[in-house]
Amino acid sequence: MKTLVVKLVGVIFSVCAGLIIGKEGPMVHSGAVLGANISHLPGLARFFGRPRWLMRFRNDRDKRDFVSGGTAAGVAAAFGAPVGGVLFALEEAASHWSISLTWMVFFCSMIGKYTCLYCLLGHTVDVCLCSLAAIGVEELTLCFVCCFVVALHKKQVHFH
Amino acid sequence: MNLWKIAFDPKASFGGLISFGPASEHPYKVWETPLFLLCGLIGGVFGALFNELNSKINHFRRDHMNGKPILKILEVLAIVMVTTLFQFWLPSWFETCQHIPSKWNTTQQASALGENPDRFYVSYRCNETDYNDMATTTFAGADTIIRGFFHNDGYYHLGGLVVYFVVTFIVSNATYGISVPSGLFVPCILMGCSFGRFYGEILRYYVLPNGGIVPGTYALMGAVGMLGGVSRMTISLSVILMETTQNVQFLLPIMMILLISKWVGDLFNISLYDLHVEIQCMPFVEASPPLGMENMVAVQVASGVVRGHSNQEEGGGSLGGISHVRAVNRQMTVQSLLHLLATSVHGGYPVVLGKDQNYRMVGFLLRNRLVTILNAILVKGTTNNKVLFVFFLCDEEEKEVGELF
Repeated sequence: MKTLVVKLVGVIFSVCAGLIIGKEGPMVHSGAVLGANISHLPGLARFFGRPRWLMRFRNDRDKRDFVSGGTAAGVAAAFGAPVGGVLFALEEAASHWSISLTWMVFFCSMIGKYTCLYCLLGHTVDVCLCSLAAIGVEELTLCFVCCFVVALHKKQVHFH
Repeated sequence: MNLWKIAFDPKASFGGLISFGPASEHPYKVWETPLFLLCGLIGGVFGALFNELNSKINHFRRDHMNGKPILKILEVLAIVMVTTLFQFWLPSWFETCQHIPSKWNTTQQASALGENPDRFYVSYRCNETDYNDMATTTFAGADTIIRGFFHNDGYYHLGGLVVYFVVTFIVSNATYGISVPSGLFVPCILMGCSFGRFYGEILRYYVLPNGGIVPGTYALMGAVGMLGGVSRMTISLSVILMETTQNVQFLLPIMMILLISKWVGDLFNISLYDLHVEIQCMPFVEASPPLGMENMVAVQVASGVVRGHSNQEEGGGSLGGISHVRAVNRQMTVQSLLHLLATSVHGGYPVVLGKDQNYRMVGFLLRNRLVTILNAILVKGTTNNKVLFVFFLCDEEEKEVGELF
């Protein structure tokens, strides 16, 4: 989380300074950082404890999946390219890929792009913050979707 | 609310941090495709060169500047200064005035670009109807510069483009890896644009004057080639670029250029991302082993030939035949463990049974883990060096340490 804040502040200043650098790379990275953190919530856990429904994401596999989703959303928000985001996560970020991950990541990038678009239309907020908000919203959504899926899955197992 | 906005706002198609402007009205012609492929070739070569230089620079940074914050800050300041100096002085050193094409003030295409149609033309010291092409490529935000390269129908001076390419190449090469968050896409697009535009201008004015060449398209193709040469992505990059340019027509040449530049680049080195993973010494397993490793056997790998270490000393329970690997027994004293750690540099030690059981391997102990456990014990200070220390496998190991406390 510290990385995220430093990265955002840093990229705002360095792009404003006119250095020949891109602001997309840090956006993608922020997405990945959020993804890695949202399944653990290390900051919030200090104050509120860890809710039980979050505990089931505390394993390596789910963490990897969340990072993939975050990366895809970062690309989607930075370039306005949702499908490109999914493929980026598939090609560069993720080391394991499954069919169910495909649609989850796709959903992430869709929400990411949508939120980004929504913020940009107002033109009131800083662009970087917009993308961050986009990624954040997308992550939360992903979280709920995953919950839903896991719950469904458990129900099915129960039926059997 | 949002739907309403999208329905009534003409600019609603704009999305993302980077945007190349509205789709070009001039799709390419089929016979131009082989000409595009040359962009991929050039991009692959320049991309490989970029990777090579950048990895050299970052190796130097890692070895000499790690953990020296003052040096890092000074470096950032120096690079900012150099960048600013170049951006400030280049327009007056290479000053050529070009006419702003008149249709930009009238036609519908102008309004498509926003409220201020000729905003990527910078007059600098020229007349108001002219623009300074070098100032156009330096006195603006990256987005505007890129849009200028793609959509400007006017002329960019060839010498200026070469100078711009060289300066951007050097400066961005030095910039990628300094202690500020930075991305790779925009510098690559800028470099690719400048050489693509150079190529396009040559074709338009000298080689095929009647061919109806649009140099902006060549700038796009150059950018694609450079991106492919540096990052070596294929599927995702082509889709990202297609979505960013908002033009499906370009997908086919983009795919071809990406493949060509990837092949050309792979002849020389690996992608910049992988190079940086290597520089940071992160544990990362490639899909295919590096060159030369395919013919190795496990003994060579384990004995440290790969990492350039060799350790001849016989320690705790070292295996008879292979003296380089240092193994631990299931029962060892703290003293011998300390000796083992002090005299070897391995990242981990196999746990083996005794000689009567043919040195059968029963587990693997990571150096990290061992150091942590020993630290915990020694800090407690409850032990002398003769205490027996018993290893079990994985999970039980922790239990055992817990009991020792």
